[in-house]
Amino acid sequence: MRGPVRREDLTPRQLQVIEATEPVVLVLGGPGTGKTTTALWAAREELSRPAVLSWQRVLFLTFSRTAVAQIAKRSPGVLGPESHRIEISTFHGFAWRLLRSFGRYGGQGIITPTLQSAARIKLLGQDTTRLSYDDLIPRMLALLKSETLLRLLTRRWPLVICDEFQDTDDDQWTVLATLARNARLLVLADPNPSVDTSKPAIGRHLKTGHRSGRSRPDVL
Amino acid sequence: MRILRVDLRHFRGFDVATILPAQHVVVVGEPGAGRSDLIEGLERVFSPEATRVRLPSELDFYNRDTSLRAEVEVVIGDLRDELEQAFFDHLEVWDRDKQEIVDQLTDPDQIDRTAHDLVLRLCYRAAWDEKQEQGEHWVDYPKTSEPDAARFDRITRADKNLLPFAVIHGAGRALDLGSRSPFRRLVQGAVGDDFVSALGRLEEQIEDHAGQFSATAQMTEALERILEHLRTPLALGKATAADIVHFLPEGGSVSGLLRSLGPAIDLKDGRGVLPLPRQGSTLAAMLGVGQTLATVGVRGIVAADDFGEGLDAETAQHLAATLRSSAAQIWLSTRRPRCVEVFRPSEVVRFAKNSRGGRLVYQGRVPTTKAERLAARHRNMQLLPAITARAVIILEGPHNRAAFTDLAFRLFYEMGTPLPSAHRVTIIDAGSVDGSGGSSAVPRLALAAAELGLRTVAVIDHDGSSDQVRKELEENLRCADAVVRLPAGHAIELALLTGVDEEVIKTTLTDLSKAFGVSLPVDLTTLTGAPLFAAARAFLKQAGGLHGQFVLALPPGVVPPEARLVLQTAIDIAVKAADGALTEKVCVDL
Repeated sequence: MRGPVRREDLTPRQLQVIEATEPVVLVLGGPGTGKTTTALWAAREELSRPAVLSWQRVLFLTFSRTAVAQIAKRSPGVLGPESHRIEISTFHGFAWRLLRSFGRYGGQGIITPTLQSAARIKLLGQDTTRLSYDDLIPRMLALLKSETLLRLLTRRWPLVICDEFQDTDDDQWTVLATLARNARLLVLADPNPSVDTSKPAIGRHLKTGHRSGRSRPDVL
Repeated sequence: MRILRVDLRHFRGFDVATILPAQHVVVVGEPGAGRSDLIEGLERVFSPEATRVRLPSELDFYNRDTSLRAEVEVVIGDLRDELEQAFFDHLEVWDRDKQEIVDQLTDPDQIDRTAHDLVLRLCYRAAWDEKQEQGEHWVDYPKTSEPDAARFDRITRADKNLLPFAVIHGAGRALDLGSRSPFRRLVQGAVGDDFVSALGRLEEQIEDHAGQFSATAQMTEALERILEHLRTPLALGKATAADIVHFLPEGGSVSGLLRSLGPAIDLKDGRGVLPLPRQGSTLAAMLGVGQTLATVGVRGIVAADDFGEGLDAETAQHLAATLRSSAAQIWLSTRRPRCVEVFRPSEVVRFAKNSRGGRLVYQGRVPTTKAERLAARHRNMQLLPAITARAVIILEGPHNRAAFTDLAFRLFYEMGTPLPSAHRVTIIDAGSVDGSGGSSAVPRLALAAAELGLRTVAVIDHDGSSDQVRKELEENLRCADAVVRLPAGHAIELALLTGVDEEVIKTTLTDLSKAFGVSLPVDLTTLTGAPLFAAARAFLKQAGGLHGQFVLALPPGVVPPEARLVLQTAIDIAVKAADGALTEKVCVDL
């Protein structure tokens, strides 16, 4: 899946996604259809818009560290000198970052939190001084009750990109919906039925999160 | 961007000190009380250059005790979106009322925009390495550092560069083309790249032109004579001298070349183009201020140590005012009262020393009402002459001050008595002209002086009804460290006249009458005793006060004994107070 890097190599459909200004854009495409490249180009386009200020950035959320590494590797090729203005992270990494920076204002105490793995809990039992993996996103969402913190966050990212959108659960969707209060949302999804049937369908999330008519599904 | 709080811990002469700036800061105080150390501390925090090389000596540690780290911690607010987002993960919550960092909250909803701000905290730290006999120092984020575990989250050089801060280092650094200079950064930060290409062209052309030197017949002959005996050992073969020897700008580099280029200025005043150093230090200082403001911009912080040194009072004042009105925050240390004048009383930070050499920090209070603000401004102006003193002698009005100041000069020149300034004591007055409001103005000024850490001796008249006299004394004793009271029934005029030969008084008054064109109220020749004193008193109060002139007009060797006693007593007590030798408040009745 080596997507084109030069703008003139993009297809008209890809250009349509990049130039879109709708609040929510859904891009459907199977593996290797160039979703990531298109998203990086959309980030570059967003950062070059006159209304976007020099201190603003694009947030790119995905699910695995492998995906983060892949996107990070490809971003300089598209964004060039602006590549420091794209923040790529997993949902959990994103929650961890916010908890480390601001968890102290949510009852977490001033000590930098430590994580405990599921295996550790099984072996040693629940350690209340440590955060478990499943705590991260709910705890982070609790922080966003603060208007001050929420304002700080939502001003930072005028565009939030979510990869593998079909895999988002309710909490992850809430994260996206909250960040999208002032931001545009670009969601990338693989239309093939998800193996994990516990995850809700794409359509349900977009319907519950946004008034109909504001979203524009787009298929690559 | 603005500094909201500075904490100095174990740094240089400071054991522990906190400064909570109002808006801008003007740092004044006794010599050696820490003005320069504060400005240096700020530079260590903000300047990427300041921590580039290791610390060579233990002098930065309080009492040279290297068992503790020396620290300068600052809280930076007014970040606006740009810096807030740049330092996103390092932001902390600041309590505006308490003027301190909020460590933690139980509920994020408690962050309240009317009471809290998002701020950035940085800490400069120095630690001494006994084995290597040098210090390591750095700047970190205290929020994510764990000093007890010696784990520090250091700020990167690139991030430091995002903070608009500059220190003005005297004159002579303006328009410097050196590669790391603020001027070069300013030029290279400007739109376009034509300067860079001009630099390239300069280098090429210099090489071209200088290359022609060695090709000239004259130089070829000279070079051949030098190379003649070296051709074999150097294996030069038949190459020409011009091929072997080239002339390049210093070191062959552009930076070497730029070092030899200095600014020359034509002020269109008929003197033509002159190198900047020849234009005088005033222009250099002005360009330095202009350059600093251009570098940091309107959101930046400017600091300067000993601002106004080497400048005339007017330029110094104008430049201080320009800085104050153009930068987001300025931190000036100065010994110049004219520079202090452009600041609000609440912006004055005064450093003093206690009797054991410890450092004390005093800050002007922020007024809460308009009346308080106006009064504070007025009293600040009255205190200006004393900003570098240890103690003040506060007199009721300018007549008293003129008389005692001139008396001090006469005692010095005729009898060798040290001036009050020799003890770092300054005579000021509470500004009352007719004496009626003087006794109530003195205690208020004494309080204002005490707020700035000055020791105070009030010198007051002793006239009026007994009830009024008692109340005045009480009030003065409450506000000043000590009170010196003229003898009962005496004001300044009687203090000047008592004990002086009557004939001398008559001659002196007659001389003054001629010199200043003020007629004597009555013929003095036949007057004696109380009527003479009454006439003399009335005369001295004329023409805006002739008190100082009277003291100076007295013949050599004649010094009013009562006034002398008052002055000497006041100085002695002021010195005692400044030395910390005054254990309780005293009132001396003469």
